[in-house]
This record gives sequence, C-alpha cells and structure tokens, in this order.
Amino acid sequence: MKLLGIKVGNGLGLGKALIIDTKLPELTKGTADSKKEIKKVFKAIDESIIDYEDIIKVLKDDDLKSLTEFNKNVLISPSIKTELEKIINEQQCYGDVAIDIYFANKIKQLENLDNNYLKERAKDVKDIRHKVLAKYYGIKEFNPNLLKEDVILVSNEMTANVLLTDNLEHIKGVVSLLGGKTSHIGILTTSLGIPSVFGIEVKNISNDDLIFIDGNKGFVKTNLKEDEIKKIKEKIKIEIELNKELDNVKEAKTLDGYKFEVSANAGDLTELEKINSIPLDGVGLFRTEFLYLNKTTPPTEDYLFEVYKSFVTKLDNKLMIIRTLDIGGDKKCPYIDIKEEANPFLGYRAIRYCLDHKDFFKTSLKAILRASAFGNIAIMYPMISSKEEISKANEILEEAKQELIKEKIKFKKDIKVGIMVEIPATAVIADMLIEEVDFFSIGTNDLVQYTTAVDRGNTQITSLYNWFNPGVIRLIKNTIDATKEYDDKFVGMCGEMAADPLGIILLVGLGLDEFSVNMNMVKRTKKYISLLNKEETTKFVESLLTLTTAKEIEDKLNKYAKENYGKFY
Amino acid sequence: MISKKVVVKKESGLHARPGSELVDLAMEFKSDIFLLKGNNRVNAKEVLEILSADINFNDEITIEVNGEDEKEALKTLEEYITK
Repeated sequence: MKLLGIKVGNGLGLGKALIIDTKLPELTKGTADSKKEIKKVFKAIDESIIDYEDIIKVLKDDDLKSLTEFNKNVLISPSIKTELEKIINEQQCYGDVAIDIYFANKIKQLENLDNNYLKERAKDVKDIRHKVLAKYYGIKEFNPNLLKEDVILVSNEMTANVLLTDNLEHIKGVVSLLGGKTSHIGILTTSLGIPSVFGIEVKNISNDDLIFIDGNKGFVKTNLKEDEIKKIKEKIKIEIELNKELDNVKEAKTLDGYKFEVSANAGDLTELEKINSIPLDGVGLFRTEFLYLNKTTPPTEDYLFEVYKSFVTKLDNKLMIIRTLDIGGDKKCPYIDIKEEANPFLGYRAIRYCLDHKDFFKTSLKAILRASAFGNIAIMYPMISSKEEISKANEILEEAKQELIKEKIKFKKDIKVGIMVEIPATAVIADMLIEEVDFFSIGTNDLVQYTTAVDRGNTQITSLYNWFNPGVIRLIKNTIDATKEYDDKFVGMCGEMAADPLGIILLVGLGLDEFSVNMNMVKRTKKYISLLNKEETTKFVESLLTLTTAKEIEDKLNKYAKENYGKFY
Repeated sequence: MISKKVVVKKESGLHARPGSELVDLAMEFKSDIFLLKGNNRVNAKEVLEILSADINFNDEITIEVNGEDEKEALKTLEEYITK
C-alpha cells in the first residue's frame, strides 16, 4: 500500500518498521512524600544531563551537537531544581506531576510567542520533558546503539531524542505523523541525510513489516512484494552511486558545452550558513515572508536591509533575486489587514495587497535597493496578472529610488526587475509583458495549480496536478519563447518542476536559462543537466509538443531519461 | 553593578544555538548576568529565558552584570553578542 505524506528529508530507504511508542504512563495522582519525590526528580534530571553529555561526547555532526547542548543547558539551568522543589513542597504532589507543571509553563511561554521558529523550539522542550519523565519512571528509552538490522523509525510524534546518536547506520528513514520541515526532527533528518516523510498515520503501518520510504517524492510503501523489493534495492543502489558522484559537481554544462545557471531557493536565516557549502550560481528565489510573519509590527527598512545585505555579501556577486512579499489570507500577520477568505490563493494577496499599501511596499523596496549597493540583487514581483500591475509597482519603485537619492543613500540605479509567471493569464501574454521587465521566473507550483484548477493538497485529484499536462507545457514554452528575442533578458523557473529529472529534460529542451531549486537539490539538478546534450534534447522536446496527453509525454521523457541519465535514473 | 547597551550582530539572533552558547559563556562567571530587551529582563544563565526574550539580529539590548568578576563577564558577553 502506498501512503502519501509530506517529503522532508531527501533520499530512499528500505527497512523494517520500528514503531516507537512514545507514550508515557499517566501522571501519578495523590499526596506524595515530598522528600522522596524531590530526590527522585533530581536524580531524573541528573541522569538526563549525563545522557546528553554522553551523547555530546560522541557526536560529530554540528547540528546534532548544538541541539543536544541546548537540551543539556535547559536542564543545567540554575533555577530548575529549586523550582521543582518548590512545586513538590507546595502541592505535595508526585515528582512526575511537578516535572509536567514545570515544563508545561516553559512550553506555554514559547508557544505564546509570536515567532514560528520559537514555537518550534517548544517541541524541543517537549522532547526534554519526555526524557526527564522517562527517567523518572525508569523507562528504558529507544536506544539506536543497540540496533542490529536496518529499520525505519515510525511514530505519531517522533522526538528528536531518537536521533541523538552517532550510530545512525541502521536508521534508514523516519516516518512521523506530526512535525514539519522546520521542526527539529525535520531539520535533523535533512542535515543527516536520513530520508523522512511526515504526515503519515502510524496505524497504517505494522511493526516489523519491511517498508520503503521515498523522501524525494514523499511516500511510504508497505506490504512489499518480492519483485518490488528487488526493484527498490536496485533503486537505492543507484541513489547511493548518484550521491557519490554529486560531491564532484561544480557547474551545469551539457555534453555539447552549453552552460545553465542552477541557483537555490532560500527563505530562512538558517540557510545563510549553508550558502557557501553548495555550488550554487545564485539565489533564484529569495522568499521574504519569514521576515514579516514572525513579528507583531512591520519590520523596519533597516532590519530588512541588514538581512538582505548579510545574504548578498556571502554570494560573491552572484545574482540574488528577492521576491517582494507574497502573503495572503492563508497566513496571519497581526499588522497586515487581510481577512480570512474562502479562497486565499485566488484572493487578496502578494502584489495585490502591496499596491494598495504603498508606504508599506515602498519600505520593502527601499530595503532591497539599499542592499543592491552591496552585491548583485534583482527585484521580483509575485502574483502579477496584468501589465498595469507591473507599471504600478514600477512607479512605486521609482518613488523609492527618488527618496533614496534625496537621502543620499547608495543603491544600484539600473537594478534588474522581473516578475513571477504563475498566473495563466500572464503566461499567455508573456510576449506583451517581456518589454516591461528584465526577466521572468516561472513559478510552476502555482502555475500548475491555477492552470489545471487543482488544489494540490486535495488527495482525490492529485493525479490531475501534473506539470506535463500539455496545457501547462504550452504556457511554459510561451513564456520561455517570449524572452528569446532579447539578449539581455532571461527566464528562470522556481518550483519543484525545475528539480524533477524529467522536468529538467523538458526545460533544457525548451531553453530555460536558470533553474532555481531547493538548496539540497542544486548538485543533483546540475548533474542531470550535465548528462544531456542540449541540441539533441531540443529536437527531442520539439517532438513532444505535438503529443496530446500528459501520459504520452511522460512515457517518452521516461525513455529519454533512461537513455541519457543511464545508471543515475 | 555595571551595564552596557549593545546591538546584536548574531545573524540568526539569540535563538537556540547562539542562546545556548551564550549560556555556556555566562556559566563560566560567578556574577549574576541579565539581558534587557524593552521591558523584558532575562537571566543569561537560563537558556529558556533567553529564548523567550526573542532577541533578534540588530536588536538593541542591555547587558547587566553584578558580581566579583563582572568586568570580565561583560567583556566576554559583549564580544560574543556583537561579533
């Protein structure tokens, strides 16, 4: 059975399902012997600290180390023991109740903050509470050091504790119901290279069943048949070989010598640290939402400027495309007045909101302009559906420039300006809009959704969400073609299609200039491009344009991929 | 007691990782150390307090130190926060 979930950590894995029961006994009711309980609680804390210290000693991975150090620091807090003692003495309760009260307060404080990052940290504190309680009850925790065979860990709410080890060789995947990309377990699996898929119910998986996890596509397969297992093993072998090859990847140059740009999508300060370790040609999509969502008041021009500057100065003059705010009724922000809407993706959002809130928009543009004095920055407007919107946005940009000139602040006067092509109406008139801009960036995630009228979250119609739908391909082709008459303009794509092995063939053939993909897909995308011959691929893709169904197109692409990617596909 | 206003230059603010490192530094000193942001005053030896103060890049905060090794402590923390 195939179980669809949310892909988090890339990679493929095969192993026996190991369901981790994270349930603890119910809290003990009644009046306790305070002295005895205080002793027991202190012991639980001390033992937990020792556990964390032991783990820190053997850890080599920096992310794991810093997380474990954070956990330890929570427990060596100067006040934790006195506070717990106080709770036990005042309430005459059992130690587990006191531990629960103490941590519940801390968790609540973090959850009440208006900052998504800190809300996630509340989950780490839950993990710590879990550990201390387990010690209190004398429950032996899951110990990865004792694993003897390959497993895929499965839990309703996986705690990061399970991965705090240097013995990860038998852990082939992590499946959890709760958690997201920015949860600690999510960050950990990504940085450790462990495939992970979230959003899957444990009840669908039985303990000890051999299961397959695909963290690239986001699913888990159970009840595997013999021939399936054979195929999966083959696939995993190829994946390992491909990963080895990826270490040497530098540029995306086709066999016949054409060079393509492969840049990364970014939108989170933690990515700042990764920028220099990945051979990216730039940042093709810098999402600015995170700078707005975590605040109670709008971010100031200075603050935005400093963040953009810190990113662009790390990029060595490579292009960084900053997308202006793309926010709508689906994301709440206290100072942004967008009502809850029935269809936020068809609603008052992004540039539509910004054009109505001129000063707010101008502030964000001034910050981008100021940062342009420190590196190669371009501006991109999202959700453009007409020429008028581009003109209006550019008018405000011009005002922002004039103000900076008056304030005698430096910026790049001829900064490049582009738009996202994600609304079908825009793609259709790409040839009319190209004169207004320096570049297009095709946002396929939304373009496919709007063109096929499919909400990708709706599981009953996911099969209709397909970027090989001939209608979608025509729009992409139309957009790319519109830029070809101009030597100084370019067209990129930010969206998952740009990192899809089959999508890459189509896009190289259609003549896309820039592929902007998730950080961890940069090398892979470069590798695939470098396995193709541009001129041959162009001819091949031309032959696809007459096909009338997505299925035929995919089948042909599949065959071409096998011929050209060889063992890597 | 001594104190000093500083501007946070840690790019990701004083959140989990830098917050934790700050606690490690603060623990080395005998002095009481507090960080003040707006009306919020938090103990620099308590990682959860630092976290919940939500101190971000470019925020102006005050370091307040009281104790026998206060000078050394202030210097060390200031260096860490503004580096």
